[in-house]
Amino acid sequence: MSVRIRHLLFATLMSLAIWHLFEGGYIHAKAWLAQQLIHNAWHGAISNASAQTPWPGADTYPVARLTAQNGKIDLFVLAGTSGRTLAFGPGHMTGTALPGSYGNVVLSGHRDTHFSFLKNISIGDQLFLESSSGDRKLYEVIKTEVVHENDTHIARDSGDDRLTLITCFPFDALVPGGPMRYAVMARAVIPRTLNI
Amino acid sequence: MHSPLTGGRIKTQSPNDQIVKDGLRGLLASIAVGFTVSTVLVLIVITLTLLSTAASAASVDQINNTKSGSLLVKNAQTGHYMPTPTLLTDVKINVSGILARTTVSQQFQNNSKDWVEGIYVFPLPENAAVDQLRMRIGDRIIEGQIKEREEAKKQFQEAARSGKKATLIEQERSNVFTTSLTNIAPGESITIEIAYQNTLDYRDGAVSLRFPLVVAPRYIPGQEHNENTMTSTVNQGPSVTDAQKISPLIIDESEKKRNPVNLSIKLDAGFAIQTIHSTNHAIKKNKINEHQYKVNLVSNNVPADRDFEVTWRSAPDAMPRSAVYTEQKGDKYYSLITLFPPTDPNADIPRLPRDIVFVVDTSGSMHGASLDQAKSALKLAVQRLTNEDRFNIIQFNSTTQALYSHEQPASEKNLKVACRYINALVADGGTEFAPALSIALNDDAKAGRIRQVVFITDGSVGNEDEIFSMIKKRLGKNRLFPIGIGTAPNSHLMTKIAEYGRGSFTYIGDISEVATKMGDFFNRLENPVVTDISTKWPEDLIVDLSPSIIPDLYQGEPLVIVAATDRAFTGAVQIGGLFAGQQWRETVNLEKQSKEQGIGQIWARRKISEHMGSLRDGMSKEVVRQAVLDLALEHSLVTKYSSLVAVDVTPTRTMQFMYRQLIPLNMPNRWSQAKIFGALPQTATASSMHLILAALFSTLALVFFFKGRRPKTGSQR
Repeated sequence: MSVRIRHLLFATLMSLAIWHLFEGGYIHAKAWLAQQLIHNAWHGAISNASAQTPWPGADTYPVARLTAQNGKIDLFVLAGTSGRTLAFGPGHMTGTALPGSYGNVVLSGHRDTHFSFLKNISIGDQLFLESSSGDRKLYEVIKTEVVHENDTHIARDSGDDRLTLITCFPFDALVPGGPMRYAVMARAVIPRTLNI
Repeated sequence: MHSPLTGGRIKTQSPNDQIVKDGLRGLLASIAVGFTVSTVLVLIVITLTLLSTAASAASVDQINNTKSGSLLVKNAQTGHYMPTPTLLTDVKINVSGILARTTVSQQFQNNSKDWVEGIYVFPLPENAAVDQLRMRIGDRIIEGQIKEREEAKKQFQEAARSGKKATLIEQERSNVFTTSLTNIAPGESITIEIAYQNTLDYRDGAVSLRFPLVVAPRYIPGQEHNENTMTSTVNQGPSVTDAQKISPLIIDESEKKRNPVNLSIKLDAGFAIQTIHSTNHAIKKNKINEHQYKVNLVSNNVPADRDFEVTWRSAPDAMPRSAVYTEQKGDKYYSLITLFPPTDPNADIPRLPRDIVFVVDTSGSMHGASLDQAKSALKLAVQRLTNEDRFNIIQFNSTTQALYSHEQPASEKNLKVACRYINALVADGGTEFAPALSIALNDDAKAGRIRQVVFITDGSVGNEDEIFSMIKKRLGKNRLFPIGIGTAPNSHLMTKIAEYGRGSFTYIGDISEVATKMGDFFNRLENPVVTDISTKWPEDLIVDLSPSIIPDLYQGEPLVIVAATDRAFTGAVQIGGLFAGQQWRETVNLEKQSKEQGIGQIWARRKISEHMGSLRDGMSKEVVRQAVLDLALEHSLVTKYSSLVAVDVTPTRTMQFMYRQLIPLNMPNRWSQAKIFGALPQTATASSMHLILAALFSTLALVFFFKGRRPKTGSQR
């Protein structure tokens, strides 16, 4: 009797644990796997100079490649910032300047997967953005800021040539959906040497 | 033995059973406790994380809430905290039509014992153009000069080094400007005066003026400072290393009156004013004539924690009206023409029947959400057609296909066919835009009818130049209304199509926006009030108009045209067009119009944004920079390439050290911002929570597993 109940309880708790482990791991696995698949679509986009979907039925496509920390961070940026898109990679915020063009290019990504590296970013760090049309630009971080999600001034065109990365804040909050955002502003610089 | 749960099931009682039962009871008790505990734990985890989100959000603000009488800022080198100077703001606004020229004067007081350098951030309305800077120290007035940005910066830095007073205004973002002050003597007060102009909001016959008295807590002067590399020798290096922590300068509740404001408005509405209303502040109104008023704040010292907002409404008018203001500047003349649509809601403006061609992009890039958005936008548009209207639908990808050979009446039967056609649209293939455009422009508007072409596309089109030249050549009386859709539409292409096509550009970023965005779109599509607008100037005058292609006047939106003429002239300007299909004309005698300041600057500002826009057309940066700089220097405008700098000639600083200081800004009474993007994207997943819960449940499982075993091993002994 006791053994059965104990086993039942053990099994229940363990399956709950496994389910949560799966749910938590799945997010990371999906984030990782999608980036691998996008890699191929990216090379298609570069060679054909047209938008390519990374897998059949995808409603987004890679628009840029973002590298940082001497290549340790290498991310493919997708078009749009819907929840579906952001699960696969950081997204380019629609309506802001297109990667490679002059203006404020705004990208956002999940604070716990692709954009977790923003936690450790500091002023002066370099970011490198390559657009699908082959434009390459080096940016230098000039400022970080915590804003409310409704405070969209950071996404507006600032008149200069900059890159804005947005992720959720605080980084270690457990439950998603908080109202604060962490923004990293970087301005385009003319590179002396590119060591990426 | 009172466990009600186990009692019914255990039939025999033996010593062994007793032990088992004890064990079982213990287990059940722990199950009950365990579940309660785990449930409570889960709830606590969730509550705590929710709280922590809120708490860390709040702490960003709280860090900056100083408890003492004035806000202190830590100096990176000395670790000293400095008291902030007090400040008074005086605002004078001149309104001409929907344009306002504002002069803001701010008084700073260094109430510390040291020489300080300060940075003050002041909020400006969107699209404000700063053109004047004046500094008053005692009796002396130092006039700011417009300089090339780097040169201005250098001049400012030199002044700081040599102990002179100086002020610098640079363009940071479109609506935040910084004023930097150096060498403020202990106890001294300095007044900074700036002037700027901007366009006011007009909606349904009402114009509203907003003076933002507070900045949202978002500005980081220390880091912004690094960006500008404005450092003086006495205070080298990054001014504030922990700028993150002092970012939102929010002052104590008790200090709300730190930024008191005087405000007065000289109002010339350009139409007969019916009412004037202020949202947040008590105002005093003095009538000069039907069009003109003087408006003042009743109480002079108003806390700067909420925006000042005043709205004036026109008397109902059944006809379109024009208002003209002029300015002479050097040997050039500038005229500002504002056209107001009729404001009488009861006026019966005949609505012309329309021939409308919908051109929808069904290329591969529209696949997925984009095509869904396009379909729902298209259905909304088709449903609004009336019996008198005629329509056609053209879809294009690699090939072009039309529903009808030419426009058909929007009968119930035809609309049903159209709906079926829309539902069956599938995205595939390339984007051959030009043939579809060519077919749509094959016809022109018939007498007494309007012909409109609506494009629904994500605009991933290559041959832009071919498209623009086709529009210029074949537009006729057609009007083009591009609707941008999907994740990354080519807004540049669409804005240009709208400009050359004398229509307007609507952008739908998300399917949830279809209804609201299409509302504005339909207003323009269905209510052109005056079309084919043109201006006629006295002979042999060289006129440079902005915009050069005059769009139509729509219901509910005024139209502003600025003209620069090469010399003074006498006579009249004729403004004409088609009002409800009939000739409409107004003749304005320019000599009799009121003279206003700053119209040349409005013209220059428009030309500058045209130049900045040409950067996207691939125009060389150096060419654009030179063109912008020329205009900026002539019209004294602060731009990306030019700054205003004012330097006192006499060195005044005698003490050695100068501290960088920040002047606090009040928290907004109510968060307000233009909802251009709505909200920033959601950028967090529940993965950490899941992983923590996984750890929690597996620990609990193991705890119960081992806890349950103990009685059993006991019984075996």
